[in-house]
Amino acid sequence: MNLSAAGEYAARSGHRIGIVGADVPRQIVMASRALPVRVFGTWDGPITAEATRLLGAVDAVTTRILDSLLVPSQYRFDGLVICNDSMAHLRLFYIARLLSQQGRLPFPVHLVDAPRGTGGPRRQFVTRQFAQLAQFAETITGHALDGESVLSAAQEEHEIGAALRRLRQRRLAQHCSGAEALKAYRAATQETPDVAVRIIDAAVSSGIEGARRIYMTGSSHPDETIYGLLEDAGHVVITEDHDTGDSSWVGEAIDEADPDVLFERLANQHAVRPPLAARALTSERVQHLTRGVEETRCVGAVSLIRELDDAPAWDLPEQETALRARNLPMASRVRIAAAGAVEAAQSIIGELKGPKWRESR
Amino acid sequence: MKWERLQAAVSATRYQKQWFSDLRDAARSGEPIAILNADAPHEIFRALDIPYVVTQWWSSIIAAKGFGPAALSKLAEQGLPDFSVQYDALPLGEQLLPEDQRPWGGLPTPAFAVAERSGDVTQKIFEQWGKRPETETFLLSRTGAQPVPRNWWELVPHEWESAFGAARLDLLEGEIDELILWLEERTGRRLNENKLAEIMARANEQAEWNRRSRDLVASVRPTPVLVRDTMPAVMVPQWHRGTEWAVDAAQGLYREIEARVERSAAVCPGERRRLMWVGRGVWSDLDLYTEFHKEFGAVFVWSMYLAIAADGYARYGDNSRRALAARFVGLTDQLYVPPWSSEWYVKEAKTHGIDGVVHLIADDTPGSGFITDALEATGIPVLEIRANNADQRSSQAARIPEQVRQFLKTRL
Repeated sequence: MNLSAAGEYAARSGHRIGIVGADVPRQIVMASRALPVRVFGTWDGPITAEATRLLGAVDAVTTRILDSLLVPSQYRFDGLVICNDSMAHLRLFYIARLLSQQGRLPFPVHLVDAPRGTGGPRRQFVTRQFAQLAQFAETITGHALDGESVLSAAQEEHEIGAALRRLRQRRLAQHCSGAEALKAYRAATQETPDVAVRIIDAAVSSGIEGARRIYMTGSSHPDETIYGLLEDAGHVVITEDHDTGDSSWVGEAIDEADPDVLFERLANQHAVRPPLAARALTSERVQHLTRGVEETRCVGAVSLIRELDDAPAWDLPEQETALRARNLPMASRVRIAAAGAVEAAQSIIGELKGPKWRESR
Repeated sequence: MKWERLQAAVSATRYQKQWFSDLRDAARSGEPIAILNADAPHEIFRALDIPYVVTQWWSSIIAAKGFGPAALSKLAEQGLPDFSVQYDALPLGEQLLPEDQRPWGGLPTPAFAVAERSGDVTQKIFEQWGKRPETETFLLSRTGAQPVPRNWWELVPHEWESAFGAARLDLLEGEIDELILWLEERTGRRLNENKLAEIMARANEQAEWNRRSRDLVASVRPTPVLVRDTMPAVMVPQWHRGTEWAVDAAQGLYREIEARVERSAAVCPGERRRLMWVGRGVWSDLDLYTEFHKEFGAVFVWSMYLAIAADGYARYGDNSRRALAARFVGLTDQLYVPPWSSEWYVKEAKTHGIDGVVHLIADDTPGSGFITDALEATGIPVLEIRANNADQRSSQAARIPEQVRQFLKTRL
C-alpha cells in the first residue's frame, strides 16, 4: 500500500495527538498532519491514590487512563483530545485541563463535545465542534486543513475501513477471534495507516470454527483480557456494541474537499453512529443488540459491567427481556470491582456451561 | 436545644404541601402535569401553565419521609439499578410503591417527563418515565463546561454569552425552541412571549432578594439562621421560580433575617466554629445540621442552596429564550466543575468567615478533590465524606455525625 499524503506528513512530522473517547473524526486529525493515537486504559492493573482522588468515583478504566497520562514517559503527545462521550471522560477532561494549566500534563488539552441526535441545533453544534478540533490540531501541527489534506486523509481512512470490513468478515466466518479483533482495532486507532492495515489484515485465528458465538455488550473492553478468557474456554466473540470494537468510529471518512462542508457531513455521520451505552437510549441499544445478534447468528450475549459505569446497567433488563423473547440467553455481571475483571469473567464462563447456553440455537 | 424556626421555612413548607395537594387535584381532573429535572427550563412550563414537579425536590421529600429505601427496592424488583443516580431515580421507584406507602399520597402520573442528558444515566431514567402509559419524554442535550472564564458569578447575570460561550447557548436555545413546539403540539396551547418575559423578570427579582439574604448571612456574627431552615425557605420558592409567591417568599426570607439581625438573634449562642456544608443536603437527617451546637459551639452557616440561589440564577436580557438557555446551560457546572466550583466555594467560605468545611462527595460530582484542595490551600480544613444524600442506606453507612465530631475534635 502506498502511504498517502496526510499519513506521510503525520509520520514525518511526528506530531501525535492523544485521543480519549470515541467521538473524534480521525480524518480531521490526519488531515492536520498529526497522528491520532487513541488511549484505552485497561481492565486490570494498579490505580494510584492520586488519580482516584483527582477523578473521584469513576469507572476504573478511566482512572487508569489518567494514571497513564501522568507518567511522563508513557506517551509523547503533542496534544490531547478528550470526548464528552461519557461522564467519566468528561470528568477526565475537567481534570486534565487543570493539570495541563498547572504543567502536570506537558501538552494542551481539548474537548470534543458531540451530543447525540439528529436535527438542526445538534448538527450545528457538532459541526462547530469539529471545526474547533481542526483549529486545535492546527495549533499543534501548524497545518490548516485544505482540500488535498482532507481528501488524502479520507483515502487513508477508507483503506483502514476496507481492512476492518475484511476483519469483520473473518470474524463472522470464525477465522478471527474477538481478542485478535480487539488488538486489530487498537492498531487501527494507534498506528500509522499503513501499519494499521498490515496489523488488521494479519489478525487471523485458527481452530475456533467450532466455538460458540457470543455477542458482547455491557461496558467497553479496553483490552482483550476478558475476550481471551472467554475464548480460551471455547467461545468466540463475534461482535460487540462498544467503542473499542465494532462500534468504534474508525475507517469512516468523507470524500469532501471543502473543510467547512466536511465538518457538517462528519456531524451527519456522527449522528447515525451505533448507539453507545453512555449516550444512547436503552431502546436504541436494545434494537442494536437484537439486530446484531440475529445478523451475526450469535447463540447469546454476555454483558460485563464495571462498577461506576452505570449506563449499561440501565440497559440490561430490557436487553435480557428482548433476548429472552427470541429464546436467547444472556449472561451478565454488574458492578465489577476495579480488580475484579478476571474473577467476573471466570464466573461467567461457568454460567456459559449451563443448560440455557448449551441448548441455545 | 430548641431554636426559633424561620417563619419563611414554615410557610414555604406549608405552602408546598398545599400546592402539591392542589396539583394532585388538578391531575385528577385531567390537567397535564410534568416531572422535570432541576436543570430543565422550568420557566417554559410555567409560561404554558403546565404544573411541574422537580425530580430532586420530590426525591428530597421521598427521602425525608423515609420512603427512599422502599422506592429503591421497587426499582431493583424491576431489574433496574438501585445503586445509580438515586437523586434522579427515586421518583421512578416511588411510582411503584403501594398507594398507602407514598409520601403525600404520591406523585400523580405525569404527562411529560423532561430532563437534560446529564451524566450517563439521567436520560435512561427519563426514558423509563416515557415507557409508562400516559407519559412522554423529552430530552435536552447537556454540553461540557467549556469555556470557564474566571469569577463566573460576576459574569452570569449580564455577560452570560462570554460566561458560557455562544455555541453552547445556541444549542440549548434551539432545543428550548423544539421543546416549546413539542409542548404546544401536545397541549394545544401557545407560548406567550410576554408572559415568559414577565416570569424571567420575576425570577431575577427573586434571585436579587436571595442575594441580599446571602450577603446578610455572610456578614453577621453569630449566625442568625439555621441552614436547615434556609434550605426549605429558599428551595421551595426556587421550584416556584418566576411566580409572585416566590418573589414574595424570597423577600419575606430577607426581611425575617434582617429582623433577626436587628435583635442580634443567634441560633447557636456561644458560636465558636462556623461550618460550611459543601454538597447536597442530607434531607433524611436535617437534625444533623444542628447536632454540634452544644458540644462544640459549631454551627453550619452555609449550604449551597441559598448561595447558588443568590449567585447562580439571575439572567438579564431582552431575549427571554436565550436568557433562559443561559440560566440552565451551566447551572450544574457552577456548582461542580473545577475551577468554577472551587473558585466559588473559596469565595463563599471567605465571605462567610468559615472555620471548617464538611464536603459531601457524591458519585456523580466531578473534581471534588480540587474543591477540597482549594479550600485547604486557603487554610480552611475540609472533611470529605463519600455518601449519597438521597440514599439513606448510603448516608447512614457513612456515619456522618461521627465523622464530623472527629473532625471538630482533631482539626478545628
